[in-house]
Amino acid sequence: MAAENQSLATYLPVLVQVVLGLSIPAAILLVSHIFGQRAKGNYIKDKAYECGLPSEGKVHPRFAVKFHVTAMLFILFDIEVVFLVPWALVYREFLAASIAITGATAVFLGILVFGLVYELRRGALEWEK
Amino acid sequence: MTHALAALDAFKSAAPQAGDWASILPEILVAGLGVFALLQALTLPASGRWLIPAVARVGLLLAGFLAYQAGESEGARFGGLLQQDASTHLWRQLFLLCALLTSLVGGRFFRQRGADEAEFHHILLLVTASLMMLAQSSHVVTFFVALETATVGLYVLCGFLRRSAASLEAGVRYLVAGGLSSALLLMGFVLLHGVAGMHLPKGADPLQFASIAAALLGHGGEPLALVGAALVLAGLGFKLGAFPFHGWVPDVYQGAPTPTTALLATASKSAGVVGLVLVVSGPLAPLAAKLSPVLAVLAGGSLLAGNLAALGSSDTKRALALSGVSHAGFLLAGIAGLVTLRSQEGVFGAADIALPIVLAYLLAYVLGTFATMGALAALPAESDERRPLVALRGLIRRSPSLAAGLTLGIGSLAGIPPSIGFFAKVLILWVLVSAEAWTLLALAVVSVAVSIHYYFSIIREATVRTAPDGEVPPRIPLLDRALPLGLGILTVLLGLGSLIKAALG
Repeated sequence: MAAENQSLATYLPVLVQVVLGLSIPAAILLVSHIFGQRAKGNYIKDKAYECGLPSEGKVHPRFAVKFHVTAMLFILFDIEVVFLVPWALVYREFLAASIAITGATAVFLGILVFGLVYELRRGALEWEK
Repeated sequence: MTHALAALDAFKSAAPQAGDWASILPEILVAGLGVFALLQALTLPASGRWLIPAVARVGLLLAGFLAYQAGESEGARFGGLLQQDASTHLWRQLFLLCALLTSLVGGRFFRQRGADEAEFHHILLLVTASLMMLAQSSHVVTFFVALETATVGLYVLCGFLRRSAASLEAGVRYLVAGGLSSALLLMGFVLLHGVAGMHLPKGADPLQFASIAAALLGHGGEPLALVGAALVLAGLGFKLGAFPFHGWVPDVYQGAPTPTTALLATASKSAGVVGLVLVVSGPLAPLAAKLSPVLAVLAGGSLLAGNLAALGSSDTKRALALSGVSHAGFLLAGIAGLVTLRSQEGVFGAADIALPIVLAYLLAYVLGTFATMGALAALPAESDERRPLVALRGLIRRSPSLAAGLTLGIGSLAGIPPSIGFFAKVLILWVLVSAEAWTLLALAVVSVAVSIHYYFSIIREATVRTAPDGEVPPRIPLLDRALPLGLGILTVLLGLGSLIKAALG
């Protein structure tokens, strides 16, 4: 029982973190609720401000985010390259000990390269269209 | 560097053998087909694009044949990352069947709506391959990675109709619900790993399902282990869409494109079931006595919540989504019975038949769902996310074959004899009787009676009520009409077959 308590005691910082994480936002919200200014809302005040004119159009229009696909693809490849780092560190020792490692990595790299070719051919990286 | 060198021996013993790769040939084939779909999209001219779904379907059949051939081959693969047994190959075939049917339902559906068919098949095949890996995982890492790969693909398929706000909303909702469930599952595994790490001898892998079970055998009562088990159950409950984690089900099922809804209802639910079965018979097996009441509460809650909520639904997809919650309840009841039976009489006996019964229930559910969803997907609608019951009015006049497929499919889901759905329900009730779970049995019977109401209101709209005059009968291609009808007839034939078999044997 004593050993158990000791092992749980090592998680005390986590508990402190959780308590802090809950209490600080709660305190901020509470303080701003108590001391903050309040005004009655009405139709005109709650409307989106459009230079003082009555607002027009849909609330949720679709609009192009040009770099969004590029950014997403960057994150994908960035993360996949991270997987290559440990491989690059150990592959010589592994090969010396005759453990097959290059085959698996070749498949992984092949899929990666194929993905790159696919997105190039589909024009996913041409944001100037 | 020295670290890596010191661990070399471990890697040497764990390095995959040729037999390991051969044992996952179906998965490799399916994943390879997924990549091949994109390759075809790059190289084929517009006139040859019909090859993409055709190749995928033939490949799925071939993978199914390979999984069938694997038959009874058993054993640990990849140094204990995977564990195959006789049921593994059945699960694989079930997932392949779901993928094949989704491809058949989804092909024209997505082409009509301007979505990329090649990318749809790509994601579908990758999801299928990872679900097949999930069914044989015996290590926390393979289990979690397989489940996550499948779920990430399903997020994309939910939001696949990018021009439809409802589809995108379904995708985001599923992303949030799925992210939460994955976090819960992972946290649960972390706690179990912690318990296993504290009590296992040095050298044992505390992420291995078998070693977690060994650690829990002596220390199952520790609060950390119980909290971990509860979190794992909650995470899998989300995937299953079981009470009280079913909040996301109606909205996501309704907003997602209908073929995706069918895939979510079948493959994703089967993934929840296989995950739960693996977990309760692997790492959490020592906690069986504590687990079975929890599972029974989840099952009873799902049965009630799903059926009562579906009563008030006026949208076909929403009603079917909520009925899916009650089917999750039936499956959970089967698993609860399985766990109870195991804790009573050790590993052998009636418990051994309970798992095939759960599988049979899933098969009946898959056939019924695809008959119904296939009919829905074939029907033209202004928007895919709004399919009110009244829109089915007079379907029997407009398209008799679709109406017949829909009726037979719903009949099987409702459990009307002589469909296969009836026998599946009876078998689950039999498991509950042998597990002596009387409360759950009563709940299951009552919920079947309640469910008749909303299932039959769908059938009534399609067959009895007449449509307003002057409506032009829609032109629906032969394949789209034949699939629901064929599946509907199959549910009856399989049901009759089991009746004859039961009468003779």
